[in-house]
Amino acid sequence: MPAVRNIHKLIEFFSSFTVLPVNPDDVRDQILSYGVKDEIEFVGVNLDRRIMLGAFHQYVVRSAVYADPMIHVDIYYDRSLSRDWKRVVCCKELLHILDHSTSKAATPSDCENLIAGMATMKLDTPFSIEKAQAWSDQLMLFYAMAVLFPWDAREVVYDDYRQDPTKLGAIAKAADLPEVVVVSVLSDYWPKLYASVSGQN
Amino acid sequence: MTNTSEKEQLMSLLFEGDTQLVDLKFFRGFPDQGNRADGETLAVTEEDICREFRSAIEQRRAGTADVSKSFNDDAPKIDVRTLFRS
Repeated sequence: MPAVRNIHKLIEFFSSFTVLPVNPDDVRDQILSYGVKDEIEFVGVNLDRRIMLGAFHQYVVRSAVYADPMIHVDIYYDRSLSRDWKRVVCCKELLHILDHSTSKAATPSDCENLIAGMATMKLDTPFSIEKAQAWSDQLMLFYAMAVLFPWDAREVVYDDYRQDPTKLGAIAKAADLPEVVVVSVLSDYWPKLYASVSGQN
Repeated sequence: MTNTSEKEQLMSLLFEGDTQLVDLKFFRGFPDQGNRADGETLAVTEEDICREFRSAIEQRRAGTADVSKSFNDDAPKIDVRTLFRS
Protein backbone atom coordinates (compact mmCIF):
# COMPACT_ATOMS: atom_id res chain seq x y z
CA MET A 1 0.00 0.00 0.00
CA PRO A 2 1.80 3.15 -1.20
CA ALA A 3 0.08 5.38 1.36
CA VAL A 4 1.30 3.35 4.31
CA ARG A 5 4.75 3.15 2.75
CA ASN A 6 4.78 6.93 2.54
CA ILE A 7 3.84 7.21 6.22
CA HIS A 8 6.69 4.84 7.05
CA LYS A 9 8.99 6.96 4.87
CA LEU A 10 7.84 10.06 6.69
CA ILE A 11 8.57 8.55 10.11
CA GLU A 12 11.95 7.34 8.84
CA PHE A 13 12.73 10.83 7.49
CA PHE A 14 12.17 12.48 10.85
CA SER A 15 13.64 9.64 12.94
CA SER A 16 17.15 11.13 13.01
CA PHE A 17 16.02 14.59 14.09
CA THR A 18 17.37 15.73 17.46
CA VAL A 19 16.62 19.41 16.93
CA LEU A 20 13.13 19.97 18.29
CA PRO A 21 10.33 20.85 18.07
CA VAL A 22 9.35 19.34 14.75
CA ASN A 23 7.60 22.05 12.74
CA PRO A 24 4.28 20.96 11.16
CA ASP A 25 5.23 23.03 8.10
CA ASP A 26 8.23 20.71 7.63
CA VAL A 27 5.90 17.71 7.95
CA ARG A 28 3.62 19.25 5.32
CA ASP A 29 6.54 19.93 2.97
CA GLN A 30 7.78 16.39 3.34
CA ILE A 31 4.31 15.03 2.56
CA LEU A 32 4.15 17.24 -0.54
CA SER A 33 7.54 15.90 -1.63
CA TYR A 34 5.91 12.47 -2.08
CA GLY A 35 3.95 13.86 -5.02
CA VAL A 36 0.86 14.99 -3.11
CA LYS A 37 -0.73 17.91 -4.98
CA ASP A 38 -3.29 18.89 -2.37
CA GLU A 39 -3.67 22.54 -1.42
CA ILE A 40 -3.39 22.64 2.37
CA GLU A 41 -4.57 25.29 4.81
CA PHE A 42 -4.57 25.44 8.60
CA VAL A 43 -7.86 26.80 9.93
CA GLY A 44 -8.10 28.04 13.51
CA VAL A 45 -11.69 28.17 14.76
CA ASN A 46 -13.59 28.23 18.02
CA LEU A 47 -14.42 24.66 18.98
CA ASP A 48 -15.92 23.10 22.07
CA ARG A 49 -12.93 21.05 23.18
CA ARG A 50 -15.18 18.67 25.06
CA ILE A 51 -16.43 17.59 21.64
CA MET A 52 -13.45 17.88 19.33
CA LEU A 53 -9.99 19.42 19.16
CA GLY A 54 -9.67 19.45 15.40
CA ALA A 55 -10.75 18.00 12.08
CA PHE A 56 -9.47 17.02 8.64
CA HIS A 57 -11.64 18.08 5.71
CA GLN A 58 -10.50 17.06 2.23
CA TYR A 59 -12.59 17.97 -0.80
CA VAL A 60 -12.42 18.66 -4.52
CA VAL A 61 -12.67 22.26 -5.71
CA ARG A 62 -12.89 23.79 -9.18
CA SER A 63 -11.72 27.38 -9.51
CA ALA A 64 -13.55 27.74 -12.86
CA VAL A 65 -15.97 25.71 -14.97
CA TYR A 66 -13.28 24.29 -17.23
CA ALA A 67 -10.47 24.33 -14.67
CA ASP A 68 -8.89 21.11 -13.55
CA PRO A 69 -10.25 19.93 -10.22
CA MET A 70 -7.97 20.44 -7.27
CA ILE A 71 -7.99 18.70 -3.94
CA HIS A 72 -8.13 21.08 -1.00
CA VAL A 73 -7.41 20.14 2.60
CA ASP A 74 -8.53 22.17 5.59
CA ILE A 75 -6.79 21.28 8.85
CA TYR A 76 -9.13 22.59 11.54
CA TYR A 77 -7.92 23.16 15.09
CA ASP A 78 -9.36 24.86 18.13
CA ARG A 79 -7.57 28.20 18.22
CA SER A 80 -7.67 28.39 22.02
CA LEU A 81 -5.43 25.33 22.27
CA SER A 82 -1.90 25.85 23.53
CA ARG A 83 0.76 25.65 20.84
CA ASP A 84 1.92 22.18 21.93
CA TRP A 85 -1.58 20.71 21.56
CA LYS A 86 -2.05 22.59 18.28
CA ARG A 87 1.13 20.90 17.07
CA VAL A 88 -0.27 17.44 17.89
CA VAL A 89 -3.67 18.14 16.35
CA CYS A 90 -2.31 19.66 13.13
CA CYS A 91 0.36 17.00 12.62
CA LYS A 92 -2.08 14.16 13.20
CA GLU A 93 -4.55 15.68 10.74
CA LEU A 94 -1.81 16.36 8.17
CA LEU A 95 -0.88 12.69 8.16
CA HIS A 96 -4.40 11.79 7.02
CA ILE A 97 -3.36 13.16 3.61
CA LEU A 98 -1.23 10.04 3.27
CA ASP A 99 -3.99 7.75 4.49
CA HIS A 100 -5.67 6.36 1.42
CA SER A 101 -6.39 2.99 2.90
CA THR A 102 -9.18 3.06 5.47
CA SER A 103 -12.12 4.96 6.87
CA LYS A 104 -12.77 7.15 3.86
CA ALA A 105 -15.83 9.34 4.24
CA ALA A 106 -16.61 10.21 0.66
CA THR A 107 -20.39 9.77 0.62
CA PRO A 108 -23.16 11.04 2.91
CA SER A 109 -23.64 7.49 4.17
CA ASP A 110 -19.92 7.14 4.92
CA CYS A 111 -19.99 10.47 6.77
CA GLU A 112 -22.93 9.44 8.88
CA ASN A 113 -21.22 6.19 9.81
CA LEU A 114 -18.03 8.04 10.72
CA ILE A 115 -19.91 10.48 12.95
CA ALA A 116 -21.81 7.68 14.65
CA GLY A 117 -18.54 5.85 15.27
CA MET A 118 -16.85 8.94 16.70
CA ALA A 119 -19.75 9.64 19.02
CA THR A 120 -19.55 6.20 20.57
CA MET A 121 -15.74 6.03 20.76
CA LYS A 122 -14.35 5.93 24.28
CA LEU A 123 -11.12 7.78 24.98
CA ASP A 124 -10.68 6.92 28.63
CA THR A 125 -8.61 3.78 28.26
CA PRO A 126 -4.83 3.64 27.88
CA PHE A 127 -2.80 3.03 24.76
CA SER A 128 -2.38 -0.51 23.56
CA ILE A 129 -1.14 -2.24 20.45
CA GLU A 130 -4.59 -3.79 20.06
CA LYS A 131 -6.10 -0.33 20.02
CA ALA A 132 -3.64 0.82 17.39
CA GLN A 133 -4.74 -2.02 15.18
CA ALA A 134 -8.43 -1.43 15.84
CA TRP A 135 -8.75 2.27 15.27
CA SER A 136 -7.26 3.75 12.15
CA ASP A 137 -7.86 7.22 13.52
CA GLN A 138 -6.00 6.41 16.72
CA LEU A 139 -3.29 4.82 14.62
CA MET A 140 -2.78 8.15 12.90
CA LEU A 141 -2.17 9.68 16.32
CA PHE A 142 0.59 7.13 16.95
CA TYR A 143 2.10 8.02 13.58
CA ALA A 144 2.00 11.71 14.48
CA MET A 145 3.68 11.03 17.83
CA ALA A 146 6.43 9.09 16.05
CA VAL A 147 7.00 12.07 13.75
CA LEU A 148 6.82 14.76 16.44
CA PHE A 149 9.11 12.96 18.88
CA PRO A 150 11.68 11.31 16.61
CA TRP A 151 13.34 8.07 17.63
CA ASP A 152 16.86 9.52 17.91
CA ALA A 153 15.60 12.35 20.14
CA ARG A 154 14.00 9.73 22.40
CA GLU A 155 17.28 7.81 22.54
CA VAL A 156 19.11 10.97 23.62
CA VAL A 157 16.83 11.89 26.52
CA TYR A 158 15.62 8.44 27.61
CA ASP A 159 18.30 7.68 30.24
CA ASP A 160 18.12 11.17 31.73
CA TYR A 161 14.36 10.81 32.07
CA ARG A 162 14.50 7.32 33.60
CA GLN A 163 17.07 8.49 36.14
CA ASP A 164 15.14 11.62 36.96
CA PRO A 165 11.47 11.69 35.88
CA THR A 166 11.20 15.32 37.02
CA LYS A 167 13.01 16.15 33.77
CA LEU A 168 9.79 15.39 31.91
CA GLY A 169 8.81 19.06 31.90
CA ALA A 170 12.09 20.15 30.32
CA ILE A 171 11.83 17.44 27.66
CA ALA A 172 8.22 18.34 26.86
CA LYS A 173 9.16 22.01 26.65
CA ALA A 174 12.03 21.27 24.27
CA ALA A 175 9.76 19.18 22.05
CA ASP A 176 6.91 21.67 22.52
CA LEU A 177 4.57 18.75 23.13
CA PRO A 178 2.07 18.06 25.93
CA GLU A 179 3.60 16.08 28.78
CA VAL A 180 1.03 13.32 28.34
CA VAL A 181 2.34 12.75 24.81
CA VAL A 182 5.97 12.76 25.91
CA VAL A 183 5.24 10.32 28.77
CA SER A 184 3.79 7.91 26.20
CA VAL A 185 6.81 8.20 23.93
CA LEU A 186 9.20 7.67 26.84
CA SER A 187 7.25 4.68 28.17
CA ASP A 188 8.50 1.12 28.02
CA TYR A 189 5.82 0.11 25.52
CA TRP A 190 6.72 2.81 22.99
CA PRO A 191 9.52 0.82 21.24
CA LYS A 192 7.02 -1.91 20.34
CA LEU A 193 4.47 0.62 19.14
CA TYR A 194 7.14 2.53 17.24
CA ALA A 195 8.27 -0.63 15.50
CA SER A 196 4.68 -1.23 14.47
CA VAL A 197 3.88 2.26 13.21
CA SER A 198 7.22 2.69 11.46
CA GLY A 199 6.85 -0.57 9.54
CA GLN A 200 9.79 -2.28 11.23
CA ASN A 201 7.73 -5.38 12.02
CA MET B 1 -33.32 20.94 17.08
CA THR B 2 -33.22 17.20 16.55
CA ASN B 3 -30.23 14.98 15.88
CA THR B 4 -31.46 14.43 12.37
CA SER B 5 -31.64 18.11 11.56
CA GLU B 6 -28.11 18.74 12.84
CA LYS B 7 -26.85 15.88 10.71
CA GLU B 8 -28.85 17.04 7.71
CA GLN B 9 -27.51 20.57 8.02
CA LEU B 10 -23.94 19.29 8.14
CA MET B 11 -24.50 16.97 5.19
CA SER B 12 -25.96 19.77 3.12
CA LEU B 13 -22.87 21.87 3.86
CA LEU B 14 -20.49 19.03 3.03
CA PHE B 15 -22.22 18.02 -0.18
CA GLU B 16 -23.78 21.26 -1.41
CA GLY B 17 -23.68 21.97 -5.13
CA ASP B 18 -21.31 19.61 -6.87
CA THR B 19 -18.86 19.53 -3.98
CA GLN B 20 -17.05 16.24 -3.92
CA LEU B 21 -15.92 15.15 -0.49
CA VAL B 22 -12.74 13.09 -0.42
CA ASP B 23 -12.22 12.49 3.28
CA LEU B 24 -13.28 13.68 6.69
CA LYS B 25 -11.76 12.97 10.09
CA PHE B 26 -12.18 14.36 13.59
CA PHE B 27 -9.69 14.62 16.42
CA ARG B 28 -11.65 14.13 19.61
CA GLY B 29 -8.85 13.87 22.12
CA PHE B 30 -5.97 11.93 23.50
CA PRO B 31 -6.26 8.49 25.12
CA ASP B 32 -5.84 8.63 28.91
CA GLN B 33 -7.09 12.19 28.81
CA GLY B 34 -10.79 11.73 28.28
CA ASN B 35 -12.27 13.85 25.53
CA ARG B 36 -10.36 16.95 26.46
CA ALA B 37 -6.75 18.01 26.63
CA ASP B 38 -7.20 18.84 30.30
CA GLY B 39 -8.65 15.45 31.15
CA GLU B 40 -12.35 16.17 31.59
CA THR B 41 -14.59 13.54 30.07
CA LEU B 42 -17.95 14.08 28.42
CA ALA B 43 -20.44 11.88 26.67
CA VAL B 44 -20.57 13.16 23.11
CA THR B 45 -23.46 12.61 20.75
CA GLU B 46 -23.70 12.60 16.97
CA GLU B 47 -25.61 15.85 17.29
CA ASP B 48 -22.69 17.44 19.17
CA ILE B 49 -20.18 16.41 16.52
CA CYS B 50 -22.36 17.59 13.63
CA ARG B 51 -23.09 20.92 15.29
CA GLU B 52 -19.46 21.53 16.17
CA PHE B 53 -18.07 20.72 12.75
CA ARG B 54 -20.80 22.69 11.00
CA SER B 55 -19.87 25.65 13.18
CA ALA B 56 -16.23 25.25 12.16
CA ILE B 57 -17.09 25.28 8.46
CA GLU B 58 -19.38 28.28 8.94
CA GLN B 59 -16.66 30.21 10.79
CA ARG B 60 -14.33 29.55 7.86
CA ARG B 61 -16.91 30.70 5.32
CA ALA B 62 -17.82 33.79 7.37
CA GLY B 63 -14.17 34.86 7.38
CA THR B 64 -13.87 34.71 11.16
CA ALA B 65 -11.43 31.77 11.17
CA ASP B 66 -7.65 32.10 11.27
CA VAL B 67 -6.74 30.68 7.86
CA SER B 68 -3.11 30.22 6.93
CA LYS B 69 -0.97 28.11 4.64
CA SER B 70 1.58 27.92 7.46
CA PHE B 71 1.47 26.58 11.00
CA ASN B 72 3.46 29.72 11.91
CA ASP B 73 5.63 27.85 14.36
CA ASP B 74 7.40 30.32 16.64
CA ALA B 75 8.68 27.79 19.18
CA PRO B 76 12.39 28.05 19.95
CA LYS B 77 14.53 25.23 18.52
CA ILE B 78 16.89 23.20 20.66
CA ASP B 79 19.11 20.21 19.98
CA VAL B 80 18.11 17.78 22.72
CA ARG B 81 21.69 16.48 22.81
CA THR B 82 22.50 19.72 24.65
CA LEU B 83 19.43 19.66 26.90
CA PHE B 84 20.96 18.11 30.01
CA ARG B 85 24.61 18.80 29.23
CA SER B 86 26.08 21.87 30.83
